[in-house]
Amino acid sequence: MKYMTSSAGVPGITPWQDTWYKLSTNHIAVAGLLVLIILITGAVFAPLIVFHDPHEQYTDILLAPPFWHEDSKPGFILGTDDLGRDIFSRLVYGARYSLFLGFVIVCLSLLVGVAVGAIAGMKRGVIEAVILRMMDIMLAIPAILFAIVIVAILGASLFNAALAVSIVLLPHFVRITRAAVITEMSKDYVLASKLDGSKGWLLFFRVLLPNISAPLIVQSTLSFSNAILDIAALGFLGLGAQPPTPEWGALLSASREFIETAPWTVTLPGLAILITVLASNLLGDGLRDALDPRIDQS
Amino acid sequence: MSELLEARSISKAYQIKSGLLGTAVTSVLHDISFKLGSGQILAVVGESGSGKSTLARQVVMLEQPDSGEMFLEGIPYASCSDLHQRIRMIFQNPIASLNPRKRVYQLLEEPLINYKNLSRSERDDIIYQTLEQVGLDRDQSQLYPHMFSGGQRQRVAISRALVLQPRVIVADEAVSALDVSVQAQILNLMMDLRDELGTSWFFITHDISVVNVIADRVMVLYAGRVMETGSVKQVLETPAHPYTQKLLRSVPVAGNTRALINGDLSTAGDVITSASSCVYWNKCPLADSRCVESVPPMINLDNRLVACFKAG
Repeated sequence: MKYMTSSAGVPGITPWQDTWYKLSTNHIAVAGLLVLIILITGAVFAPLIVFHDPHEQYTDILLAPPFWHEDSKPGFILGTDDLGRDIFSRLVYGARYSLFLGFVIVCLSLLVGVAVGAIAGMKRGVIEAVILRMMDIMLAIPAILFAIVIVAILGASLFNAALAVSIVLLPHFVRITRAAVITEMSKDYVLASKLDGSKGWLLFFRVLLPNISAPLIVQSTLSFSNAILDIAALGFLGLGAQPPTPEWGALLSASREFIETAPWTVTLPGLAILITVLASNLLGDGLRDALDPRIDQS
Repeated sequence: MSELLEARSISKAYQIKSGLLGTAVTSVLHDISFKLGSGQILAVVGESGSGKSTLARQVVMLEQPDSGEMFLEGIPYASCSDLHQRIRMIFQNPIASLNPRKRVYQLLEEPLINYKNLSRSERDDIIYQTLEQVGLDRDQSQLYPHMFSGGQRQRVAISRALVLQPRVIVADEAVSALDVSVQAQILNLMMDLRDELGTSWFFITHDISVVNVIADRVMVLYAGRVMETGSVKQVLETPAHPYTQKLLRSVPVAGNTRALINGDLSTAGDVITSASSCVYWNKCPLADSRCVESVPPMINLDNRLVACFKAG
């Protein structure tokens, strides 16, 4: 990374091409992106990949070990759980829940957070103070505790868990948007756009948003991993996905008692969570480097 | 005939928070009047902090003056609904004033979409025609601002001002960031546009040599007050105000190092603004007790105005 060259200012290169160029020179971030693409493809084409229905119970093969073990059963490459269900199938179908929920949660948080942050940054004054203090209060409560409280109020279900996690992630988006809007508002090009007749939401969407998208994209990828982690945590606590659902956190929780007799039933869902979170964090860090103009100058 | 643009004794002060509860008031513009005729170029000169940019913000109605009135074609600003279309502004630094995420076409399209109700092809025609007027190709309309050179970027900024066919363009230090050869091209472009389209320019600069090239009339500002105003020929050839004289002496001339050294070191010191004395008295070589005790009025000296007791 030390010798990374910048293509900013080179004729013929649009801002997005420049970002892509810088990201492509960062091998770790590209690796993260590839892993995410593989995971997403796997989740989308799950029925074509797996050999078994994730809910089907093979009662004659309970707790079969994965393929590297001598007692493994053919056809069950990652073994089976305590009810004889194929772990590989459950993990692949679980990716659907985790990735889809992560995506929905980030979209919801981003949408509401950007709107609220934009109001705070553009209106200033009392409205800004009220919004910021509310966000401070939300940040003062530990994230998972806050999510548990919300789910406890709304009732335990996957949908409510997703809602709770998006509320927990909201303050970051609000604060980032507000800070970026305030920085951009003081620049000449915004003044010029005001003279050109753009104001209010028009000014925000057409003029400001393209210029503050960089920190928002970075925060979105990082929040994506947080969302997956929090959803899994709620699932593990029994507050998110309910038992037959092959959600990764719920898988962990269901096989908790077999950690000594059949450690793969716990390790494999944990590994799936780890890989997904790691990949999206690496991509997020790479995007931060590629999009941050300050790193450009050094 | 009424003037195209007229300011009648406008003043502007800003409140600055000091300490917990206190607010201090700084007067930035004080009793400024000027007239700008159709197709004229009025240069406003002064050092940094003299209120040039604040004046520009009043002229384009980004801010309202505290007192005084502005008129466009004899109509007060308050009753001019299409003011932002008829008075346009060019900023000092085109890199900062052109949205980095927009193509040139989108930049020129923005005011047309907001102010005019035109079809896509009508907008196309206006945009390409405007680009041609400032010497850019229509192919270049699909480029981003960072893909241009400094001079071209300022051409983009000018085309953006021109696209609404304004009567007046306010140029706030529009050529100061350019190197000299490019500066000359842009100044020529401005004068060509004045001749072809009859656009009036409110041209703010700190560079007297630019004034000499481009302007018809000049207004010298110091500490938010008009020191001297008149035709360029009069003011630059026979400056009547001690401050104008000092400004002209400080202009660096190639091969003349002496002039620079002679450029008054004695004038270092803060600006002291007081309601009851000349703002320039503490730096003025001619100042006497009268300058400290009372504010000099505007004296009319063969069609130019000078704010000095000693003039004439």
